[in-house]
Order: sequence, then structure tokens, then C-alpha cells
Amino acid sequence: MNSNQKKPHIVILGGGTGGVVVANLLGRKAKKLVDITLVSKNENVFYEPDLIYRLFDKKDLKKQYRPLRKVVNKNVSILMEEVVHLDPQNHVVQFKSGNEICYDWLVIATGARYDYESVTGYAGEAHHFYNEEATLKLRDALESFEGGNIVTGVADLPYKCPIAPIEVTFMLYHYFKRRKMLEQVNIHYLSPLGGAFSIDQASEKFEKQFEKKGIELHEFFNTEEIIPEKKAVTSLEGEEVNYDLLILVPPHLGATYIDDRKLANEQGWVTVDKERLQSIAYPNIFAVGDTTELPISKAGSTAHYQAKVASKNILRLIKEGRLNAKYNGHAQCFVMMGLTSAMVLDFTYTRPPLRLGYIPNRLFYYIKKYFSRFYFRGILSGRV
Amino acid sequence: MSQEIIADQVIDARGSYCPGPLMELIKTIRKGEVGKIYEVWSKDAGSIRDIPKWVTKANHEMVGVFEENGHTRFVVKKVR
Repeated sequence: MNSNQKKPHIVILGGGTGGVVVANLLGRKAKKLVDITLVSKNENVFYEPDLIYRLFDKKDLKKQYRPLRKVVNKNVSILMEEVVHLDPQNHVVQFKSGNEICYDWLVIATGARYDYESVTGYAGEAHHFYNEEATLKLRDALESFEGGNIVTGVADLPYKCPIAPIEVTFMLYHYFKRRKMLEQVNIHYLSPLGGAFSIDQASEKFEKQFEKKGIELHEFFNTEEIIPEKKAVTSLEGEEVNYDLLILVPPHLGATYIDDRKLANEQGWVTVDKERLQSIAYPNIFAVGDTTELPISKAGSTAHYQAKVASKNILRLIKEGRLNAKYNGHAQCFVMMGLTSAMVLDFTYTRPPLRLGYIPNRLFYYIKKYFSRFYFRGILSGRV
Repeated sequence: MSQEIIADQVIDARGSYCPGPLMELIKTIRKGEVGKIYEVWSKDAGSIRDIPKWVTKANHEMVGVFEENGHTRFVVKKVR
């Protein structure tokens, strides 16, 4: 199909942050040089970070959506399809509809999916806030909560936005404080790690806050099973914690449509060079964002920074046959420390978070709270 | 402790960063059989603290920790 085309065809899989930023950068900088197709199964881009606020207010989710066509450069063709198979040997992507598309260059940015079945008892019992439906359901459960054990945490690693469950734990504390219910509520945090968080300096900060607020941290708690009849969650390490309300980030998996183990591991995380973001096995394939196996947070900021590097490298390869842009692992996460204060973690593969960001304040809160406006107009354009 | 212990499975996590090596061990032990010996290779400094601490918490046996050229070998026996 593609052999008759003069211009190289770049196909981008995924209409989230990473995919849209790559599409916009290429659409703007290489419209005469390449044909670009963005494939997405969703008609809208959804701004996920604001879901944590929806747990504690009464707003709907309308402002978190934008039609894909409105945020994607006009030089990019959009295909509404769901990918079911990728054949990297023959450069073909197959869709659920039965259609297929060929590519010369491919960018994989299809994010992560939730694997509710891998933890026995999860479905129907555990709450989370990682999609629209679950968030609204949890909001109702919080509103009607009358007291008891709230158990929050993470079922398994890796997962998106590693800071989110800690933020929600702090926000829960302040939410119940506001409702004058702290004496009736015990909050527990389950961490698969030997501390609250994977970065030591940040972990110490969070653990101090947990202690101050009376939040019980359960270290090395790798979820084994949820037993609804006992209202208990058990760990691989042999611990059992009782809950009245369970809020557990579900296990995540990567791309289901890749069965080539040279391209992605068994969990579907795409293996790329951590700086060039190029597949080691297939040099015409790049991956960005949550779907990668990179040793860095799965977050909007990392997808954004990676998208800029990947698009530069693809363009340079097409123009000059070489690439030189490198991703340094930059991540930036604003962390809610209560309902109206936040701190920021800014780090790279080799640099720990900047100390200045550790001071919770109102300014960081406002930046995070109102970031969605900048996200749709600025971040997705790739201009910043 | 002898370095001649023969592991039933070697987990080469030298390309992983914290907490990768520990999580790969946990994933393997979760599926593994009681009595089997697992060996994790790690280059990450955090593993020296995390892996023995996790093995103790999970009530498995830390058979040994051995420094090699550029990486550390953690030998763990699944006991329950």
C-alpha cells in the first residue's frame, strides 16, 4: 500500500498526550516531507490529572474533554480505529474493523490499560480513580462514608502517575477533616515498596506527613487477594488489612496488540532505548509515554518531553539518516499535599528532585489546579 | 557463605533501576515453587537495602549477597 507513496508515511498510534504532541510537532515541521496519520480509538482527548479533584467536588467531567480534531494539526490525518495487531516485520498495523495501515515510521503511544482480573476479588470490590466511571463511583462512596477503615494504595507496579495515590491519601485526610470526621476514620496506605514512594528524598517527606496525620503506612505490601466477605486485603508478604472502603490503583498492562517479544515484554511494555526512544529491534519504531518500559514515571509530563525527543529523532532520521536528540528522563509532577496546597517533584534519570519543590504552597496548587487550560492550548501543541 | 550455590532461576535485572530488581524478584517468587532458589543480579545501589529487607518481611530466606564485577548477586530461597 505504501510503496506507491512518494513521501514517507508516519503512523502514530494513540491519541493521548504523547501521540498528539508527536502528531502536532511533525504536522507543523514536516508537512511537505511526510504523510502523517494519527490513529485513536477515542474521539476526544481526556485530561486525566483532574480526576483527583472530581473525587472531592461536585463538578462533572465535561471540561476534561476536547475533540481530537480540535487539538491536532490540520496536516495530520486522523483515523478512528482500535489497533488489534502490529506486524513490525512487515510494517503493518491491523484494526478491529478489519482495516489495516502500512507505515514507514511508527510511533507507539497507546498508553496503559487496567488489568482488574489479575487480583482476585478486585472487580466489584475495590474503588479507584483512574477513569471517569470509577472516579464518580468513588465520589459517591466517599459522600456516603460514615466512618471506619479507608485503605488506599497500589495493587502492583508499574502504574500511571505514581504520585496520585499518595495525593489522594492526603486529600482524603483533609476531606474528612473538613467534614469533622477524622475521629471516625482510619487511613491506611499500602505500598509495594520499602517506603511510601520510589524516590528516597520524596518518600521521607511523605512518610513524615503520614506520621503527622496518623496515616498508617504498610511497606512492602504487594497485593495478593481481596476477600470481600472478610472485607480484607492480603499481601504476598503475609499481611492482612481490613477495610470499610478500599481504594486501590489497579494493576496496569501495556499494549495488548504486540506479540513480538523483541518489541514489547510479556506485559506489553514497549522496549526502547531510554535516551533515543527508538526500538532496539526495529529502528523505524519509536515509543513514548505510558506504553514504554522506560525506568521513569508514567506521567503526562514524561510523555510530553519524550514526544518532543521522538519527533525530533524521526525527522532527523528522515532528513539526514541520523538522530541526535536524547531524553534525559525529565519528569515533573505537581503533588497535592492537601486540598489547597501542593509541592513539585522535578527530576531526571540521574538527578533527584529539586529541593525547592519540596515546600508545599498555594502557588503550586493553583498551577496544578488550572493546568488543564494550558494543557489543551499549550502542551498538546508541542510549542512548549 | 559459598558462592557455588546453584540457583533454580537467575533474574538478570542489571538493566533495571530501583525498584525494578526488587519488583522482578517479587514477580518471580510470586509464581515460583516453595523450596526453589532465585538469584537476582542488580547494578542498582538501592537493591542492597531493599531486597534483603523485603526478603525478611516476606519471611523468605536470604541465602547470600555477593559482590561481583559491577553488580551484586542476591540469592533468595522461597520458603513458604
